[in-house]
Amino acid sequence: MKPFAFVIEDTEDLSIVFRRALEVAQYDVEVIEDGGVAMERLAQVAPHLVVLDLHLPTVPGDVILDYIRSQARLKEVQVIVATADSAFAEALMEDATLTLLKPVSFSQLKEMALRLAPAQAA
Amino acid sequence: MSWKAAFQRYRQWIAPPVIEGFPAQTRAVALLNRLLLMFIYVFAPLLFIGPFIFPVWYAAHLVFGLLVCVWLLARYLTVKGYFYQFSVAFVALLWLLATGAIHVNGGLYSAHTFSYATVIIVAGMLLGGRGGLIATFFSIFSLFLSWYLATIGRLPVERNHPLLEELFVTSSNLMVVALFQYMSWRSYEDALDMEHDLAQKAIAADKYKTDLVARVNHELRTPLGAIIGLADMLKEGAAGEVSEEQALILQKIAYNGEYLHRLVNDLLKQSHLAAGKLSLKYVAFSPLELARRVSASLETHVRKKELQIVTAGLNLLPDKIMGDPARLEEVFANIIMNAVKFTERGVIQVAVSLPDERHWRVDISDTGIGMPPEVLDSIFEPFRQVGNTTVDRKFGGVGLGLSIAQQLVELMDGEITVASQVGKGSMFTVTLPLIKPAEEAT
Repeated sequence: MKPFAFVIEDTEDLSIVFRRALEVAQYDVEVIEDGGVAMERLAQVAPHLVVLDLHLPTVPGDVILDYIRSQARLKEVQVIVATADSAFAEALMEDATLTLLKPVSFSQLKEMALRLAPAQAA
Repeated sequence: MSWKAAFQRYRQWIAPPVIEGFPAQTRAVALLNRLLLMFIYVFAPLLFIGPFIFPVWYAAHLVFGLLVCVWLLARYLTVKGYFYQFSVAFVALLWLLATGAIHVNGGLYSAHTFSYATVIIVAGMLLGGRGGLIATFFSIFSLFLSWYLATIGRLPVERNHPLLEELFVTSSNLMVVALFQYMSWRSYEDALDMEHDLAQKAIAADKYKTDLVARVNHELRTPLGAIIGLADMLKEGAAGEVSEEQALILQKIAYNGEYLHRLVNDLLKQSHLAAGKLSLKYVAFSPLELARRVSASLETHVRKKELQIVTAGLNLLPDKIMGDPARLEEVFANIIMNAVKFTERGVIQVAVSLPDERHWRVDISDTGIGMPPEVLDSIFEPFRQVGNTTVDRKFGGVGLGLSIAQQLVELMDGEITVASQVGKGSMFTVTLPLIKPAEEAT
């Protein structure tokens, strides 16, 4: 079974790239464009990987990251923060598995996703 | 408010301090005011005690009282914004005192007729040209009236009230002194206000600029991310096979996207450095690994030209040294990138050495176009390259790389210098403090 990933990103053009990069890295991907919806989905599902933007509608990315890190159920979740806000990204560096500063290239994300894939899927 | 604070405030209010950077003339006026006030401070008690000892001093007592009253009134009215009303009242009072002095001292034959000159000058100063003209008209009219009253025998021609005359004259003189004191205090306060306003405006403008840069940076990165990401995605074949020609086009899109990305990064960094917001993170790092990273980041640019990068002396450095590797990577990448940009073929040499036990040095020399001496002085100024349109068009960039490198090196307590010869090439030298990790030092 393929590992499951969330792409939480409100810019459609970027979510296309992120989705495709993860798909090529053999993930099943769900794209979420709203912070509130992401919180609801995280309450139901524990994905293996989350690609997280920080400036999101309804609930910002740092709150989502806090939520993931505070839930024992989600402690195995790998979080790649992908943002254009360098100061914000720097502040969250400790909680995130990886921090990528936009622009994030297709191959860069694909490579990171492959590296973070569970052992059996890699 | 404590007594001390109240006294300080009073002193500041009554005697503007002489401050550095004020125009020389204003400094002189402020100094004169201090002397005048010192005089008043010393003589004020005498003026109050005096009349009890010498009855004739009552006149001086009155004069001093009038002076203080005028001064306080001036402050009250002008603080309330009634400067015009105050000025009219002041000029009218001065005119009355001058006329009074003339009328008790021989009319037209009195030397005090010249007091009208003071009235006209003060009116001009306080109320402008029109005020001066009106005061001139009134003064001529008064002189004419005095002459007429003397002619018909209604104005005594002898000096018959010497004490009253002294009172009028001294009052008007001291009023003028008080006015000058007051006006210089006012101009001093205005200057301080203006300075404060300018500082506030500069702070606001700086904040606006920083916010704008941060916002523009964010707004640029997002579409830029889409361009680079989508081009890369197509190039990787994630949306189907790509022909050779299409791959070439995609490569150009990616290259231009990356170029724009670097520009955005440089502009943001320059803005952070200018605002003093950039800090360093010192960790133990491997210089060898740093060299590898710098080399990897420049690989594509070097490959496009007939260039060779040769490094030497890396083995002189310890395995680990302290520093901010990410910023150092930027420094060296910027300098070497500059060398690559201006060198078509030949060798770029990167030589590491230890000038003494506490420093490490990197000499980056190229065989490029070089720079004339007059350019060397401004080579590290931000946007310097923009001014040179010919060079700019040929080699690209906004001229921030070297400026950022220099600012980062200075932030690390290091130094960066350059030597160059037109047609032969340039050599940049970076000298940095050599800090060994604590475990090695002990």
